[in-house]
Amino acid sequence: MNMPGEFTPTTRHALQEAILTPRFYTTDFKAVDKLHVDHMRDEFEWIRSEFEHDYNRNHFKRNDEFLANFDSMPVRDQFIEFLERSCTAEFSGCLLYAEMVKHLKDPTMRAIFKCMSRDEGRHAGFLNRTMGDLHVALNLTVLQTRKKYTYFQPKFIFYATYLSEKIGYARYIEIYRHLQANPNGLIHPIFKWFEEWCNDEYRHGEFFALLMRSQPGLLSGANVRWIRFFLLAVCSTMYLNDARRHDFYSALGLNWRDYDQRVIRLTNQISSQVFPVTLPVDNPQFYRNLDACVRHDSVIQALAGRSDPLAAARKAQLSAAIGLRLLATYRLPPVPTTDANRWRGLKGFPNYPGPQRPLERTVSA
Amino acid sequence: MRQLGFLLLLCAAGAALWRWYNRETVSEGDATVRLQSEHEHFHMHVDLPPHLEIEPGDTLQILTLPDVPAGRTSGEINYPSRVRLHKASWLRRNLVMNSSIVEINELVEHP
Repeated sequence: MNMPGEFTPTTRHALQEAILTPRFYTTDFKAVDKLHVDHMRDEFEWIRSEFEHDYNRNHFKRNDEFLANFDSMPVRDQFIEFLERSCTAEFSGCLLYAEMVKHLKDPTMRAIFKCMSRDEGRHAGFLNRTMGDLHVALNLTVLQTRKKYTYFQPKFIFYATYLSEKIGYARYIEIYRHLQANPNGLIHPIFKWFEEWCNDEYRHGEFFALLMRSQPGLLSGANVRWIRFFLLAVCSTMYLNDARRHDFYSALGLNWRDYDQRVIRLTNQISSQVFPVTLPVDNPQFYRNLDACVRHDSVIQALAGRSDPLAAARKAQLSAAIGLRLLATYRLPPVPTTDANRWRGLKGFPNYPGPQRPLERTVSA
Repeated sequence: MRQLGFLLLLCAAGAALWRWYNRETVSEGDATVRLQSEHEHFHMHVDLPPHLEIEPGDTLQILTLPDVPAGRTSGEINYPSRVRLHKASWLRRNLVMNSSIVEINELVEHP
């Protein structure tokens, strides 16, 4: 008899191996440690207590639905690829936050990053185990390969990680809501876990929003250009990636383009909670440009197997065309954030109640 | 003749830069690898000895691979391993620090 979560012995698929290639980052940890957060210490302590509350402590428990035979599930290979990519992203987040814990001295910051690392590791474990159900073993040779450490300035990490967490929330909640309304697209039970799961992503994003609010210099002056750059980079990367995997989204009953546009709209809206400008998603030229990038990219993908000079020249020409389209999109006038269009927070999600909150909410150091 | 001399000088300078860029200092030490690969959690950390500090552009190699069937552990495992740290040259370190924006796709990928 199988215990929940054990391999299905009847699988007709050969054992596959998943090689995770997590990213390893370094940054200027001393500069992060020097950030002045004392003027908002109470709010940081509040969000720390929210993390330590660990709302999803008991959420990632598997049930018998995971024991079903998924041999004949639609888009099985694409689903495994989705799990691998998601596991890598969660694992990389776990490593980045753990590095912060190792290097930072501020006890509040250390505690928050520790909780976020816990969450990402938990998500990665859930995904990892689901790959095991599909007879995919993890190849740990990643441990022995030479791991290259890339460097990012702290502000790049803040902008990108904030957006990555918020877009992760938007992606999960949009899939969850769609599958609730259209259960025929539910190809695997893991999607039923997405609602509470994505709240972790949203909460991580709230911390980065707070961190950026505590450093007004990150949200003004020349940094506004970086904000626009990262908004576009995060959204266009997703758009191009998902266009390449349209079969997977079709199997869920989703039109990838509609889905991505909903995700971009929601992420853009949420980011107005902290960013002084957002993307002009209602400007028709915005999606005209992104769709042109997708068309160019699909030709590049079709040429991927060829290495002759003609194909190489064509790929270079199309890559340049994508670059120009993205530059044109970047140059579209952004939407300034005002009191009227600022994101007010997620309904039902705990917000900082102010320094007068009841004492029992405070968690001691 | 002068042009040929200039070209040779340029080649020599390029080769010297390339050698400088690729120059590495290798040091080894004893580290502890902590690995948990199961449903509840998936993480991997390496506690390096104090004399090994990772900086931008460096690469780290763990020399011992654990014997873990199907890549899954039962709880967290700790095991000692030699690690090899390849310290990047000054040139490579500064190039990595100032060119990370071109690797931004690493940061903006999401679940």
